[in-house]
Amino acid sequence: MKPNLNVTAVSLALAALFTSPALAADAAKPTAPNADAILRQMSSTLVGAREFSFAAHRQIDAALLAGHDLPTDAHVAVTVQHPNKLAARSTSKGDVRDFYFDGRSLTLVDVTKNLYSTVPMRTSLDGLVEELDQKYGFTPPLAELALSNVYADIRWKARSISYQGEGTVGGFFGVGGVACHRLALSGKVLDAELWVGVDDHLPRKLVAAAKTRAGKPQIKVEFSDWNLAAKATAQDFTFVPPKGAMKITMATTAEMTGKHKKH
Amino acid sequence: MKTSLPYSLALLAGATLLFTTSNAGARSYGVSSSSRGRGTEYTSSRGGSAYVGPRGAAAQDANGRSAAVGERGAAYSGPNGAGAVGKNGEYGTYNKNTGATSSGNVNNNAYHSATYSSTSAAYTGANRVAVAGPNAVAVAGPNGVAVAGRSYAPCYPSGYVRAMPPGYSTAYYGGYNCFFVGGVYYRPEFYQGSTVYVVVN
Repeated sequence: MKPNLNVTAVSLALAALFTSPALAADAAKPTAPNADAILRQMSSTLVGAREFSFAAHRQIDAALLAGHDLPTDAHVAVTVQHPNKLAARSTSKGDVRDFYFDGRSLTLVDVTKNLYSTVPMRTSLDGLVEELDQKYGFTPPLAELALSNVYADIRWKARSISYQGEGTVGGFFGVGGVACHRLALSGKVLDAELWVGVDDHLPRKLVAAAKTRAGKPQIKVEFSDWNLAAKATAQDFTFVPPKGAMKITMATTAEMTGKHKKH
Repeated sequence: MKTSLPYSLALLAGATLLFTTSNAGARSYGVSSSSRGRGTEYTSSRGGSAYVGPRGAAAQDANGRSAAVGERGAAYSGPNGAGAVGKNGEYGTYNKNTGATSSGNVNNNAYHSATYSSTSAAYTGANRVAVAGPNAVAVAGPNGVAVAGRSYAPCYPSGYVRAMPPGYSTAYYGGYNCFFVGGVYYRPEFYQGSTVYVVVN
């Protein structure tokens, strides 16, 4: 019987396809994890935890601090209770600063000098970040991780995101660290690498570089002490003035701008 | 349409996710932007503003120092002096403190001119100008302009300081809680998350 040449050719081609060592290896190679999916998972983990707390060690290259009264090195501890409570303490050389937000007001405390100021702030955590910044020109440290949609916030900032591989954060000579996915996030001004825990989907490290500035100065944040089962109470978000504390004014950006123009 | 940026420099305080877009980079310095005509206007929370358009750029800080460059030249004006250069090299400088002025034409040879005083200096070259005052500097060349002012550093209104001398005590003065040291009352305030002091008396 005359063989069907077309069928034979196709069979040979398929055979070659699956028996070629190189092609077979390609077929077996696992595809890289989806960076966007990892970011979504991180966001879901944070947003899904009604209460959580974490700590962070933050370092900022001095070149990025021109114009800001901020320390280059600080330890930050944050406790969050969705949808509208946050407490944070920032400790740096010679300065300790506390933030209390309970959905009704925000209190800023200069612990070192025993000064505090309380302003009305009836809003959610999302509203806190926006209102505080617009009116007073600052936000509590790392408050972005307390937003109701961390993923959307990051994707609004980052033009592109890609997967860079795995790495380990912490540990001692490679032992005992946390296995992480490394995500590259790119913006017009800054690029960053965000390390997200493989198992717990939590942010573990962030290194951001100002690519448009000479020397590409960096911000480094290492996250630690994650607790997604934090048992915060109302007292944790309520400021009680210590003895001798002085109540002072919190100047708005508009007030200070007005004073600038008078001079 | 004005772009409202929901965060600002305190993102840096949080050392937050600053990997972001130009908007986020800008907002970390308290800057917002809006389109104006065919250019873009930038304003900072510290009172500065800048405009970049298809035919030039201009900047002004909160204290009135300004610099501009256009197709026909560049100019700087500050509290202690002013300088300008035209596209063909003509220039002029003025120093408020000394009253000194200079002007001339810069040809395309190696000729250049410079004026100095204790508070400011100006330099003009064949196709560039640089002016430096005590609080700002502006440089304009054939390919662009750069302006920097001290307002980029922590800048508070007159009468504000960011630190007190040591050895203070607390006092109630003028209806406010104050610190007292060296015969001077300092009224503390929070501004942009930092503690600053108004020199009361």
